[in-house]
Amino acid sequence: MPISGGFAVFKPPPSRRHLILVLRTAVWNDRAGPFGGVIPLATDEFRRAEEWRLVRQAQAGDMAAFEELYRRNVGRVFALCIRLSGDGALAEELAQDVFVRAWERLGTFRGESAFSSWLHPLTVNVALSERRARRRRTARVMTTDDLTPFEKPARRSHGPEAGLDLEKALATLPPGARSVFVLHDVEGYRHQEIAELTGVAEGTSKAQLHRARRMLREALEA
Amino acid sequence: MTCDEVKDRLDDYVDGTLGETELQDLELHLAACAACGEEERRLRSVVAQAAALPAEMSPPRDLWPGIADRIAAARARPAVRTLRRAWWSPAAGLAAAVVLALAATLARVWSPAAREGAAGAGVVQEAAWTTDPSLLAAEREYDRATAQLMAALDTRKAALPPETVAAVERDMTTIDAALRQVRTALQQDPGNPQLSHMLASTHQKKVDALQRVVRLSSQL
Repeated sequence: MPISGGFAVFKPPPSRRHLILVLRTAVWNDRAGPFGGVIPLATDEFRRAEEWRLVRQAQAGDMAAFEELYRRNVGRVFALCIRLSGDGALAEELAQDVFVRAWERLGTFRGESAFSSWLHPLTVNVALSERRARRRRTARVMTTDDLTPFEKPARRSHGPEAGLDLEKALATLPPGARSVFVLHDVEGYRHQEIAELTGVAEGTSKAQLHRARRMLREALEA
Repeated sequence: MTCDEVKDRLDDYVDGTLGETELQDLELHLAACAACGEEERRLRSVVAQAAALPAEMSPPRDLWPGIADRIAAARARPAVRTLRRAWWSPAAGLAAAVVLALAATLARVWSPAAREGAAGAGVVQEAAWTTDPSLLAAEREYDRATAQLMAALDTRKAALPPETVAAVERDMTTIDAALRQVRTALQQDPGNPQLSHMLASTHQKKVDALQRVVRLSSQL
């Protein structure tokens, strides 16, 4: 008699970041076609192979292939840049910096992950190091308490508008609190990873997140 | 657990990182305290909204042209740096002067005809006019950048008006003639920093002109 019948196979719980990614992939797949999760899985593999072909062409100097990689990834990169910087014009510059940097480092991409996964930490680095550089350049002291009054939303909403309100409120957060919130709650990083990326202590990252969430609650309910 | 203690731990609770003992205490408090329960609900709402934000946002304008320009400029830049290093290093300059003087003499003695013939032939010609490795490396970089731009231009030539193509070719001939003059001058006065500078800026002019045309042609 087989003994495995009643046993559940133990699997380690996925991290928050994975859950968010899975959720997003599921949403994307729903949009992709009428066949639920079966066909899209196949298209995922196809997309990956196609992407790897483009990367190799770009590595050989093919700008048209790199432009295609840009077109496929710019939305993700720009979203991260604008949320981390809180400034639309700056985010455009940062996104351009990311792709120029990606071009320079393309030789180091070996295809172990999706190209978008490779771009992600690069984007975070570009956005955060720009802020550090700007802080050094300007003698102006940007205290993290320098919080401009939030623009009051016309009405409270829970539909797609809620996202817009949150984006607006995000832009008004002090830079440190904003980047920790974006990395932790939007992108699903852990405090330890944020500490490594931003060079702050893990406790500081937790304190910034607490602060950001409190400010956002107040802003959204104002 | 007091309300203040709960508030301090609510983030960890919502993130699922609270220790087992504290978790039980906190949940007992939440079950009994409406204010803290409300606080938890509001916190979860913000966290859920953040996780549901769209992963992608389109930039308001196409960022690609700016990226393409910067990549093209970066491809041409290493040559400038190499050449600048070459003439700013006094030791290298002195060594180059000695080697160049020797090379120039030898070239004149051995093969004046070959030197004459190589005057318009790019890579062959650089071997004849200098043996300074920095200058040679810089010229190779410029040649590579120019060749890439010329290749890009070739693929778009058909889209350009014939008079533009003719004007570009005329410009290139003028610049090449200037390059030959500077090289000859450098042969006679090796290590002269002004001449090295002139050589670099003439090369750069060529690259800039080509970049401009390639950019214009891509907008057609």
